Amino acid sequence: MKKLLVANRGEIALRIMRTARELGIATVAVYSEPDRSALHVGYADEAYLLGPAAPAQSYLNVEKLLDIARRSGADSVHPGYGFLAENATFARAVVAAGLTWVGPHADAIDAMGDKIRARQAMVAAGVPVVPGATTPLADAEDALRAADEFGLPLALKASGGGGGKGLKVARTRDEITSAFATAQREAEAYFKNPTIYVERYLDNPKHVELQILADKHGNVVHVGERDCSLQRRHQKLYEETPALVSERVRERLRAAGIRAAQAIAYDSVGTIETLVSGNEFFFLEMNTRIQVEHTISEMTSGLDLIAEQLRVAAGEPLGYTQSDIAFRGHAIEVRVNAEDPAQNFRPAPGTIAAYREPAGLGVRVDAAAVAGTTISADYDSMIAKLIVWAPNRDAARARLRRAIDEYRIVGVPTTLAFLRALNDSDAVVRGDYGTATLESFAATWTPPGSSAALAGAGVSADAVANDVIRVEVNDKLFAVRIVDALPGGGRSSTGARKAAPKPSAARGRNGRASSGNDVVSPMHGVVVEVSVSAGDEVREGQVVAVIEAMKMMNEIRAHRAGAVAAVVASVGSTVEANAPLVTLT
Amino acid sequence: MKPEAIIARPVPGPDELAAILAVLSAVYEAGASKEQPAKPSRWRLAMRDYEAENV
Repeated sequence: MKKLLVANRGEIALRIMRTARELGIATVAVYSEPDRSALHVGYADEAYLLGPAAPAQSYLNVEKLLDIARRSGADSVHPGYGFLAENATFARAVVAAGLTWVGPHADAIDAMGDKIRARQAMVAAGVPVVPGATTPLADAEDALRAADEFGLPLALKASGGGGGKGLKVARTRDEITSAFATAQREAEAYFKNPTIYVERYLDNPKHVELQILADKHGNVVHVGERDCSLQRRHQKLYEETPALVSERVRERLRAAGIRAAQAIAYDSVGTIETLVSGNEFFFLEMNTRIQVEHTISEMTSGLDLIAEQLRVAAGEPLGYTQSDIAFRGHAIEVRVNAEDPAQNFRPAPGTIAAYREPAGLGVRVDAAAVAGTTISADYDSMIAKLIVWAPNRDAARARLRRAIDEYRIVGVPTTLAFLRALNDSDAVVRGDYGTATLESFAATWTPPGSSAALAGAGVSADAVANDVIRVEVNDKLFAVRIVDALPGGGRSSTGARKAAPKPSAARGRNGRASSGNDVVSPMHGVVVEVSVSAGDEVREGQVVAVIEAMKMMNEIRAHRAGAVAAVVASVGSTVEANAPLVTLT
Repeated sequence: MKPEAIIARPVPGPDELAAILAVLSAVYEAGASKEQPAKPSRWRLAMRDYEAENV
């Protein structure tokens, strides 16, 4: 293997190229038009344009990729994850072109890509599967019969699906008919395959997966298991290893995972995903590719899984056995996405205005971002993976908190603040969580006021970078940041700025509790300003007074438009909650 | 005009806060122009830990 084409983009393309460079393998990047200045393009030894942004015209364009492989003289292709990574047709085309495919043989991709075939293969290999049917459902009547056999709740799943798409849960018999129709519609729309199968749905199980590493000579080892239960809409956000399961589950899961890989003559890196419920575990699916969260397995095993993947793709035997792999310490990965957790994790594409990664002992950042990088709406919203390692779990969590605090991303909202809070949540501290935990935590989480929201409202990078003012008072240093103002005293008049979220501490205090004619104080405090006089016309929402309470200045706004009939409050006076401040006509 | 919020680390005492506000006002005065008001009408101190918010 002398020259490797990486058929991907973003952090994983860069991740693969780094290892290739260490191994003395030349790299070829491909890119879409908006990715011209992406980091993976600059890092590679050569780079070729694929086409417009749309994946079908760029990173999924098989003909173009093979043409670039030929033009560049690449002898191997690494698909990364996503895009064509689990596309058996592409794998076969790469091999047919005389190139080395850095992944499992195409038959294994086929066998595991079809969820029904995968279930059948696992049953044959003696791997536990979630109670359910291994044959496709013909219609909703079939689904009702399955509910009788396997019990409720029932998961209706697209055979060609993944990532939560084409998955519907029926909790009652009444929901089954519509759940079947919806799952089938999604299956057809997303995967061009309307086949649906059914499983018992487990409530809040753990999602635990085993990292597999196998060669073309029949050697299979595992590289530990990962707990990926903290997900939202089946997208993982927080992953850790070792998984928080009993030793009994761990040992049986490892043995079953090895059996599963052997059953399909697996010959690359791959992941056996399972659901763990109490002391039981059930096969979920196998991902026949490098996984986003492979990094934490690398941190605890010391293996470079990309290097291993390249070696076995080239036909080398593993050269070691299971007992040679020693696991040490605890590792956590979090996904830093350009999403707004305060807006139901809405993807928030945009340009990163300022960017600074954390560093220090045990901290790793796999990213492809710098200041000026645009997070495109055409691709996924991940900016970076933040990975920490420490000798034990508590130390890893503390290190993650420290690293998140150091991480500075300005210009787009990110999941960082949410992840910090999640890391400190009771469920995560106790290690007692399942696949439903993150969603319920997200429902109760209140975002802090964020500089990202400020930046998203049109503040330039320089303005934001300069918004920390250092003030010395009696030789004591204070770092002071202005949250609601543009540096220099200017004020933006954009609508976006007005929509920026307020700090949570102030939100409850500025509410308009007034009604009728009286504008009242919502809290006990001291009147520090009265902004109107008798006879003034006020607009709805206009500030009429300011109350100081708990060292906070609180604007009191008119709840409706009108003329001021009387000013009741006076500056310096103390008012009780609900005391009238101003009366309107 | 809306009040401006500041977040200070560490959280200042009352005297320290007054001194900080004086400095900020001076900074604003220095950056004032015809279009931009000299300084905010008032300040509000968000009583939060800077590090906890700085993400």
